[in-house]
Amino acid sequence: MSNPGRRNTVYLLAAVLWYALANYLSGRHFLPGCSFAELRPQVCLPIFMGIYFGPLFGFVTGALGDSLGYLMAGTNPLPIWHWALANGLMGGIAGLARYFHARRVTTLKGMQTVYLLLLLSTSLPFLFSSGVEVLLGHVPPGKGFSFLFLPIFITDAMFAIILMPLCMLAARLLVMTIPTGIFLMTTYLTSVVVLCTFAGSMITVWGRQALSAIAARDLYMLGMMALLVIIVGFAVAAYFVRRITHPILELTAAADSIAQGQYEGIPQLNDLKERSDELGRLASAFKVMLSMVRKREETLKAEVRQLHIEIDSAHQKQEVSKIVGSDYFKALKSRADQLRIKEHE
Amino acid sequence: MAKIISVHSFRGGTGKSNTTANLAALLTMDGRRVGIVDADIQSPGIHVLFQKREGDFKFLLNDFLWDRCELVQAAYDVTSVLPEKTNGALYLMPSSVNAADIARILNEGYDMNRLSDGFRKVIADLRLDYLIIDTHPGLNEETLLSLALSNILIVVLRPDYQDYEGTGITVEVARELEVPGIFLVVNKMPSSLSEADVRARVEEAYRLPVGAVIPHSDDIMVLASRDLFVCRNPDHPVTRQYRSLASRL
Repeated sequence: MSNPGRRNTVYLLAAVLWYALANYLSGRHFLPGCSFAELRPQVCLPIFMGIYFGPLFGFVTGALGDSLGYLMAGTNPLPIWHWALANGLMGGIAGLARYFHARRVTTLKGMQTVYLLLLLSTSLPFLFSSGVEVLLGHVPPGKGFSFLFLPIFITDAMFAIILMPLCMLAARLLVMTIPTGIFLMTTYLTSVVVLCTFAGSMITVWGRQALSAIAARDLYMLGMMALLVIIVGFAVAAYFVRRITHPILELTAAADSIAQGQYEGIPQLNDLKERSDELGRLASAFKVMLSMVRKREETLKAEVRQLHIEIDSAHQKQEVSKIVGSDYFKALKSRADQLRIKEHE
Repeated sequence: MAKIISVHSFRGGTGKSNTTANLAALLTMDGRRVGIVDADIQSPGIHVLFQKREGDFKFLLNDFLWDRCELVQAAYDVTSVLPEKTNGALYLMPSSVNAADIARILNEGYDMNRLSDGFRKVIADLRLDYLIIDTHPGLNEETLLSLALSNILIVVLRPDYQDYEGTGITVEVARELEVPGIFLVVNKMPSSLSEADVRARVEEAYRLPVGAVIPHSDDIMVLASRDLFVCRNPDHPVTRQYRSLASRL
């Protein structure tokens, strides 16, 4: 098992089988008012495989796992190839994270990229497969949107938003820095509360045979609103997190470059100094410290440079000739040879 | 063949006595017989580093210069202050810290021939391998005599403006007197400067080897002022610097 290629193949096979089994199990209960959509926490599997190993692994987990799930349930996957393709695309799109420096997330931008990819990977593929259903004439367009695409997107996105940060933390793909930590802290609880409220509404009406189509549509519109609230929440949180953490990151960058002895091109921190809070005080103290360190360093460098200038000075020659010209020195020099202990003594 | 080594600095407070005492200790622990002369008659004090007080001494260098004793009678065996047993021996020839004695030397001077003869005699009496002279700062006549007697001159300097020029003068005078070996010791180097850089610049500027570069730190100041640094801190980088210089003497 020392070969990483072989090891990864084993992981892939395990993920495919797990995804197939989970799809088979979840496929036995459809969402309220739906004849196809179901609750699928397992969407995290292809998404995670995509982020961790790349788009190909994500795609294979989604597409192959989905097809196998149908086979387990005794359904021929070939006539409904577009659903397997959609599941594959879900893992594939999430896998693009690595091309946007978001495979291992340490920054706010990385977090935003991941959330955007989670929303895209749970929406675009199923918009496509629901569209194919409509084109094939299996469902009318209105129903295709409200009872196929919308429930799938809402529930898949819900599980991705709730579970993926936990998976990424566990796999150390999400690193708790000041920006990522604050962003996660402000968004995670809120999104869990909002989504669970929606999930609660859904569970309440689940199994009611007589649930009218209008009531079901309202349910998914409510879900869509919940998702929109969360997306707006993400944007607002990102704005505030950037405002709070940007100065800290600027100070850190300044400290880093000073540690490396580079005083040029350091962020000026001028905006920061104007602030009346702790960060403003930190920036002011930092600026004072910086100018002191810089001054000291320059003085020391100048001292070493003076070495050349000072010892060649005329004054030195004058002093030497004064000593060397004295009678005492002349007498001493003539005797120095006798005074000094010789090699052979 | 015995070697006379003068340890000099153009200005006071550069760490001349410390350098003398630590080099002497390392040479002794290496099995050599070493004598230290506190020739800084105007401001003596090296005996403090060997935990001695003036009351411990019956005769001093001053007594020898005033013809009251032989130099060997003013030489005290301080080998026992070293932490390890050694085949070597360390003798200290201290000067008087008494103000009246110092004033008398300054007013009357002393016979320099007697001093140089005394050095030769004490080297023979105590079978010394090294006689290390802790000289007075500046370039007065006694110091010039020390240079004329010396086989090796160690000039201690601090990396600052005044020492650069003073060291330049000392080095030129020593060259005039044809001192066979000259080493520079850069002491109290600010820790923000690079040792290699300072060493290279000083060597280039004086065209002389730098024997040791001792960084300045508060720790070293505290440790070095009360006893022998190299004995208390045998694995310290400063000790390694001194040791590398001792091996070249």
